[in-house]
Amino acid sequence: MATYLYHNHSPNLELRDDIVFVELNPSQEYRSSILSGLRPEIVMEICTRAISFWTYQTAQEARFQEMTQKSLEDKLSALEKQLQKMTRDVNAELSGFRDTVGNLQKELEQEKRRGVDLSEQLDEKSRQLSKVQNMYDRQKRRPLFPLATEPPHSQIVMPSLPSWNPYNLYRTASAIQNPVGMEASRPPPAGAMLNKSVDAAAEPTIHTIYHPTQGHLGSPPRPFSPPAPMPVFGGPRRVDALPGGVYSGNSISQRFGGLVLWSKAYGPVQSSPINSLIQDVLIEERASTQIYYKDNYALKWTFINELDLVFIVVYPKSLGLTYIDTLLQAASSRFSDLYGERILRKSGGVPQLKDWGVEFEALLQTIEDQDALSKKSKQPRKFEQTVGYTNSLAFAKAKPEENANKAALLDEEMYQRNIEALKKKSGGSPRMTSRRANKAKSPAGSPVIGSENKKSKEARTWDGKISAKDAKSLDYSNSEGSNIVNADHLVDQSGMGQHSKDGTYNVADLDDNEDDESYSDDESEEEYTKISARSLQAKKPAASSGLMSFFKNMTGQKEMTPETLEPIMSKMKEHLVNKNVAADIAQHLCDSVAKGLVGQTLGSFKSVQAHVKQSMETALKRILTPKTSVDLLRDIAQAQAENRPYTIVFIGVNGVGKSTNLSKTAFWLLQNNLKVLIAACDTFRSGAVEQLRVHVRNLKALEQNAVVDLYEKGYGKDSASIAKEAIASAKQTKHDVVLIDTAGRMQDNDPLMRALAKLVTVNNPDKIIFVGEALVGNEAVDQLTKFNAALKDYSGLANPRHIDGMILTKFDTIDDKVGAALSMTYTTGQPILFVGTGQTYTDLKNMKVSHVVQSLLRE
Amino acid sequence: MHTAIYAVLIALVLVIIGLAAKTLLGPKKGSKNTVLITGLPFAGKTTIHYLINYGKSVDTVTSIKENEADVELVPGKAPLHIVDIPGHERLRFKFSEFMPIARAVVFVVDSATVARQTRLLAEYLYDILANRFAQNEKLPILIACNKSDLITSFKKERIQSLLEAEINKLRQTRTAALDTQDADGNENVFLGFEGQDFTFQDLENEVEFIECSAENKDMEAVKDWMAAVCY
Repeated sequence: MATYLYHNHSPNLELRDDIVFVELNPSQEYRSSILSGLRPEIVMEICTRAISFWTYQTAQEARFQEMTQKSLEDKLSALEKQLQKMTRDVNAELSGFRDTVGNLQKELEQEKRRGVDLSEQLDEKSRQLSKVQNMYDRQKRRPLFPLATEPPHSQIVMPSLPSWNPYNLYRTASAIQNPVGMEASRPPPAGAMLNKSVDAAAEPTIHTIYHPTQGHLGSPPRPFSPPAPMPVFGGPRRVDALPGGVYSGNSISQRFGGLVLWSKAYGPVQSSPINSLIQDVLIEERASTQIYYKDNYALKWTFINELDLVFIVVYPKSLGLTYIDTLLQAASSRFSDLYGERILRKSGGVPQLKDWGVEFEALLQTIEDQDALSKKSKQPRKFEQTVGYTNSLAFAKAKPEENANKAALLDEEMYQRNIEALKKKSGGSPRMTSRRANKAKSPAGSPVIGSENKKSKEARTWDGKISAKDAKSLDYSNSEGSNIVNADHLVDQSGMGQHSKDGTYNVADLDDNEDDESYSDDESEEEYTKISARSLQAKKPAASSGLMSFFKNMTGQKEMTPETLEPIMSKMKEHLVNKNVAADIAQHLCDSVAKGLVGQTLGSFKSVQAHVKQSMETALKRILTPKTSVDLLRDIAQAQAENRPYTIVFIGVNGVGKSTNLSKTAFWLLQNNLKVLIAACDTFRSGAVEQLRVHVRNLKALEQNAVVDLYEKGYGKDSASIAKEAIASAKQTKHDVVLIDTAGRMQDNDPLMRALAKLVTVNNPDKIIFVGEALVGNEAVDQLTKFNAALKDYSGLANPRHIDGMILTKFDTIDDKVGAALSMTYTTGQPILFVGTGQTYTDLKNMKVSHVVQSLLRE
Repeated sequence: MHTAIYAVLIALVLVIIGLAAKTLLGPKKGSKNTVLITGLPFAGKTTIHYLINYGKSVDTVTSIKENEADVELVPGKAPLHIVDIPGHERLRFKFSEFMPIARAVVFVVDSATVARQTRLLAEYLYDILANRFAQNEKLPILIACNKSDLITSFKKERIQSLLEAEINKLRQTRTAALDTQDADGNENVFLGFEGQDFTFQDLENEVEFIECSAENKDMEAVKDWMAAVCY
């Protein structure tokens, strides 16, 4: 037996769980040697044991596998848990960040709102102040006219204040100013300056700019808007807080002729937002808006019409700079003071603008520094010594308190006190007198350029200053002394202007103090403050050209002001509305035209009306002249060259004549030997397909060898897919043009508009033509904007399509009420390709711009 | 004192009236002396205008109004009235307002973008060539290929052939266009000869191509052309 001993391995099993796998593979010989000669019972016994041992081993192995599996599973779950935890952490962090951003945004919004609130307050207060000022002026006038001195009188005046109408007052004021040789001693009504300032403020320019971010764009101008505010709040501080390079502002003064007179960039400006502004806004007669956004920039602008100048400021739109309007106003009035003469004289040439850079820098500096006023309080301030100043301050202080409680009721005491104060001042109220004297100084009364306009600007400035003062005084304690000081800073700042410039709008006037000397001697009274002298100065350059203006007055040359334009513009608007122009558009257009006219002077023999009409004509021509090519045939030739059919979709509301004008267009195309396929995509209205079939039959009969076919799939199908099939089939059958007729739909029908957008998106036609009735009035705007909006909103494309052109149908039925043509082109900016003028196939014409313009302006 | 002032005033009035009369009546009396500068936006019209009239190169942006100036190109001769017409499509109608008084037209082309703008250029040029006054008076036309200093600029021969090819297509489509509403019908002239490809030589107008560069103040050729055509 020993010979057959199986050589065993000698495994070292160290641990209990260790297992050794051994491949025994015994030979037959060995097996038989072991079991041979044994009794069957014993053999059985051995076998049984062997089997049980094997079973045991297998069980062990299975258990071991199970354990391994379990451990692996544990590991996996642990990992999973870890992953989850990490994800949760990251998410939490993320949401934390998001919250922070949200909070910051909310804060920003709050800040903005607060800024608006504050400016509104300022607004309100300056209005109050101007009321008080007005009352004060009246009071002051009383002593001058002996009859009016008693207090009872002033009480009578008071109740009329709330209904105080600047226009009326203005008229009286200007009536008095106009006589040329008026003696210096005669005092004009003290209200004149103030009235004018309010007037000027009612001009849309200032007003809308004032709330530029509030979505007031295009809202009708409020009658009493506040004068240009001094940017005491928010704005300037924000700029200061920014690191150097971030603020990239860019200011440009530009001639209408395209010449850049001067420009300064504080940072790099990509693209050319100014060209976009000119092309998108100024040329399109959309200047009744006040702010324009392009890429990352916001642009604001102001005109000096008498010089044909535009001032443009470009700044990053993320900075809600509030002082831009002030800057524009100040810069433009300063500029016209300094260089207006020269530019007018050298009309056409390239004017030299020396020193303007420095001027502008200083102006900007002052405006930006306005809120850092307190620091500069140590500077000498002469204005504070002015009687007028103290007076107005007292009023300013007293008034708001009163006002806060009850609307505009001042009590008798108030008046008494005022009058006393006045008497103390010995009647010579400094500010007003100086103004008066000033006026008297310049013999002709008005400078050559835009005398009226300029004055009104000055007045506005002045008012703005007051309002700022007022605001200041309200902010601080009521004690007079402190008030004076505080207000003084403001005044000082603007008046003294270390660098001889000031941020405020008025500053422009004030800046002239370099040439003070010439004037100061004239004004002997001590009460004339430096400010008054300076403001006189401002008029000085104008005075030098006084002779010219004298002649202009003599020969009847007059300047257009918002007041002279207002009645004419409203008449013009009415006229346009009567011609069926949509009311909104007539308003926008009139505003825009008026804006371009204010400040221009008229020739001797020209009536304002004729001039307005002329510039309206130019504006209308501009709007109606297409800015893209309307040569459809050339486009089709291009498509032919590219070996594809040219597709045109006709869209519009029900019953305007889509199918009819489609077939007229088809007729014209057929005459030019083009092969036309008409796709009947009106699967909605019964008879639509049959209508087109009749047209096709007629067209075939009309033209020999004409290739015109109808692609139709009956009713109820998806129009988008029919159009797609039609285009595909046109490509195979070599048709040149596919005209797609769609179902008429009202612009408010959402599902149908979605279907239309789908048709356009799927097929991407070459031209989308809107078919509109010439009979439509205000509705035109709504239709076009909603169709355009649907094409945009429902397309889901990054660059959605819009209406490419229009066909104006039923043009023969409207005589000269062609307003729809204007409404439509103004709304979309797209050209009117054709007009339908009758029932036959040949009644499709090109619109003649001059014809429409004439019809619009015909009485 | 007052009388003295008034005397001065009256004298001034007379002078002013005289001046006004001169400026108002002057151009109409004599033969036409107006040269129009026109072309697409960003071609450099305003820059060229200021270069020719004032010898200065200036910064410009898109023009809204036309610029006008009188310049004595040849010393001693009557000054030429030069009008720079805005190029923006919406303002294009202005060119037809000036055509009646035009003596010559300078059509400014941006040589660098000509390939992209061929169609726009040709359409505008077609409008000018087909204009009634250009036809009747056979106005000489200069095609000033500006910005020749750029590397990407085309040579004038290339520009000419591009424009000719495009106008060749355009005259087909334009003559086939629909009538206008009141159909006076006189605006559909056919440029060149039917059945032949269009070339500028076929025109009765004198058409010349000149390369120039406002950037390099290289305007002599344009000035010479103006002087040659107008005197």
